[in-house]
Amino acid sequence: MDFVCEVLADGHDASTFESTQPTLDDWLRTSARDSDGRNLTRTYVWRRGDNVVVAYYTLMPYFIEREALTKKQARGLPDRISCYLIARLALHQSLHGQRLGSQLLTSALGRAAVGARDLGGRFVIVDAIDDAAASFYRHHGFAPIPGRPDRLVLPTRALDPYLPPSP
Amino acid sequence: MERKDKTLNLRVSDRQRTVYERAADLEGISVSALVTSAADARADAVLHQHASMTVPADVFDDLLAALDRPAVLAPALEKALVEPRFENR
Repeated sequence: MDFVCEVLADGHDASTFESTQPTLDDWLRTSARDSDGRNLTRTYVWRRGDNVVVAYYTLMPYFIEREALTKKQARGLPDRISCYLIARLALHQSLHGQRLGSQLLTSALGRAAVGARDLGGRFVIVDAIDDAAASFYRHHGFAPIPGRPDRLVLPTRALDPYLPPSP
Repeated sequence: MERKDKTLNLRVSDRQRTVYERAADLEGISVSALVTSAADARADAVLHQHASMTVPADVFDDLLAALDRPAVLAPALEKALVEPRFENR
């Protein structure tokens, strides 16, 4: 079993894609290309040889901002942190239970590692769609943001081993 | 449960009102719940695209502090790096 990972494109067939979350499936079919075209997000897929999509993830630049302070309090303090958001990550349900979710996350983290190396960005942040997703990310070392259990972070500095060898 | 003590007045047409009432009735929820759930979903989508989140100052400072601590890879991520890959780039 081998999949090609590439940016979502016209030739890909996502019509049969079915994770366990219909909202993730619908988004891939109806909105991902448009969002990509406007450079809001970048969606990568795993496709089989026949172009059928079996997994995908969506990355985008993101900021965590500090709640407004008075001008005097805020002087000299950083007030936002640049990040990469893994906005979506989904695997066809026929592939669940084979550690492919970890592999898919690894692929997304590799791209974030390259982005951080080339352009900066201090955290990878994830949007966990439910408790199972949140515990999947905790298992992989992400820490929940206090007060926002659906958002978890991992410093990009931890991702150096994910960088491809320099050319 | 969020406290819902604010009101929002909406101007709608006769047709909209009738349609909302019928839909709410079919779902067995109030018109209010129908309208706010649709607005919640839309607002979520818009905010998502806005590409930032705001956190309280103490949470923000903890995140900054975390960046100064040594970064370690979780065992599950170490493992994912060395096991056979299904992905061909």
